[in-house]
Amino acid sequence: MGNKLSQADHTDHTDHTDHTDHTVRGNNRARKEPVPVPDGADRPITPIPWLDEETEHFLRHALSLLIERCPDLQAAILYGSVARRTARPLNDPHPSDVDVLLIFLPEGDLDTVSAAQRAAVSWAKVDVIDQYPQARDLQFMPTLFDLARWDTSFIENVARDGILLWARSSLPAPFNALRQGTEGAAERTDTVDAVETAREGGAHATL
Amino acid sequence: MNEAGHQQRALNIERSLQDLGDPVTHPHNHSVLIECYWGAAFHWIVVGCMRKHQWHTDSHAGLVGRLKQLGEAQVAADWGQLETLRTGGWYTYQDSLADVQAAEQCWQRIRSWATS
Repeated sequence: MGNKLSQADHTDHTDHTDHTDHTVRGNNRARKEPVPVPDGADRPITPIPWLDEETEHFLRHALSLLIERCPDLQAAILYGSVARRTARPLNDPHPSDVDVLLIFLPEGDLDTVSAAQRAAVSWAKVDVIDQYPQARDLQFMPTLFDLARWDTSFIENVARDGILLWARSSLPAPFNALRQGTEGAAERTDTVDAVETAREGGAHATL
Repeated sequence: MNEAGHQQRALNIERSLQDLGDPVTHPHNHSVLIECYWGAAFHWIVVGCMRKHQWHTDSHAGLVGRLKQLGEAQVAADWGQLETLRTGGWYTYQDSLADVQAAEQCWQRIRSWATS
């Protein structure tokens, strides 16, 4: 049970003179004591039927690792061209990436994504990428739950087009209209109102 | 471009980083600083791959996967972080001082690897 941080064995080229623990592909706290599998870790990840099979497996594999390793990961939202079903095809010279917004709780009193969270995001992809050589690239974009510093038009676009892949619990206010699954993704016309509400001091978001 | 050319490009970008000044007092430069760390790191990766693996690329597309194939997982992870920081800084205004410092740390580790 708990984290799987010790499963992978990577050569660490870090010179160890900086203050970031790059040997940890998860949460720094996880190495010191066992972390129980948190609520929501066994919730299913929304399938994306129009995504090619290899990319779908790559996405689910990397995201599953992140969910296991990061108890502070709260949600994953597919956005961008794949969510809108306008992605350039895999046989295009420049096929579209798969864009996923990752929403974390803050680590301690930090007001930005922590180094450990960034490292965990990167390692989740690195750990499995060689198993999916023909897949589209994954672009994981980490952010904190308050969505502070984010451009409001970006949030509006994600709220309008996004597909909730997975959530541990509640979502930031602008994304409350998102439902897990691919039905009705283009019908969420109330999300701009949600952004406006959040800007005026909604329950969760600070824009 | 040969190995010396890539190294010179990296060094030139690092001079540009110096010219841009202290990110604490020049917050408007944050996204450009992140872009420069990304660019310099890319050229150092090419230098390192040529020296250690006799492999050359002029493209950053698919680089994380290729680095993993070469057995350079730590470099792949640092490059992956730089890609994320660059996208965040350039397109979504995620360019805080902490983001600049994270990019600097990734670049520094990649540079150390390439020159070791």
